[in-house]
Amino acid sequence: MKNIVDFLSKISTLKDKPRRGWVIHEIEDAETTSDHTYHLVLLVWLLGNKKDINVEKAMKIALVHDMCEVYAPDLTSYDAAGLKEEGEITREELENSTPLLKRPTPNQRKKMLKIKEELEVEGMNKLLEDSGEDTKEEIWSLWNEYEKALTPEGKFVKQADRTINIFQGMEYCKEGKIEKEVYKLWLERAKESIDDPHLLEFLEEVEAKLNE
Amino acid sequence: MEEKRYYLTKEGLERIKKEYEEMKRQRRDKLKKESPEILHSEDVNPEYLAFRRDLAILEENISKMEKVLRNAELIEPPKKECKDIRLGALITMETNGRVEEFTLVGTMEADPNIGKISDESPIGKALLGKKEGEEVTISSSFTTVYKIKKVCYK
Repeated sequence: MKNIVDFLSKISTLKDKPRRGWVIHEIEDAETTSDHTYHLVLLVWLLGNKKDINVEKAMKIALVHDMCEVYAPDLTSYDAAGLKEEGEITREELENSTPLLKRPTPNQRKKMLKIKEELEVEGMNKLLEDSGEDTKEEIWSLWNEYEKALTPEGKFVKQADRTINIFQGMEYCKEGKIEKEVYKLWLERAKESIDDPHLLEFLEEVEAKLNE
Repeated sequence: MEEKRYYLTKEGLERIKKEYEEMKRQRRDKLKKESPEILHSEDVNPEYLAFRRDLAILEENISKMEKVLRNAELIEPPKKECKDIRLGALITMETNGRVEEFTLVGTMEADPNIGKISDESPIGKALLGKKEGEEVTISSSFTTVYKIKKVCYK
């Protein structure tokens, strides 16, 4: 039982880790990784019930999807946009780069994703090192499903993760913390990256709520 | 009921096959290990429950992968020069002054992080069948116009 207590203690740090995307947008008291995860699990549960998927597994995938951030940085597309276009980049360069509030090029994204993946795997290994074999195996397997997004559940959670960000953005936009023009860009991008019919229907309602 | 078709590029199909083989390997490895005892004292052994649970998830994933492979349809680039948008097209688009490149792919391969858009997404659906030089308009509470500047196939 000690390994479960220790594991949960490590996870506690996510209750105080503000989401970097919102911090870059200078939002005060931004939602934390735990806040985001809680919202995502609810979305996956409620919309997952309308789909032919294993909802329990999908909820577990949502629970673990950002767990590596106990140790790994919460890198965003804005961090990618701040990277140089040419040549390779190092971890130090990524850590020291200044995020830019614009869309990165595919090349910048690729460079960041490569390092992000390495950092997240290292973070996950560190997080799970003393968690007990069963816990470790299950969490790794669920996290891989999220990362690869090849199973219906992994794919659904990946898109739900983007969707719940749009939802949170709508709340910030209504509170005047995000400009409407910026928010419209996110909605545009969501129409490129989301193809799940239930999530698209949910987004239509989110958009309508913004305009109430 | 007819099963859903999964449109995949050669690269995408290979990735799915590789993943499927990896899942089968994991199942073999798991089954090679001795199954934990069902009972621990008088209670059900938690290790046995974990073993059954992990195996059930693997079986479920393998079965879902088999469904994808059974219904996979390979996307082949057109033999002649083609300016129509079909699956596999590399599209250069201009939106709000930004020029970006996307590849239109089936849902299993979509990854907007690397510019691969699903043909089932609102933009993917609107682009399918359009030609180089045309415009696509997506309207909701606001309108976005996408100018199709170039279409090619690799």
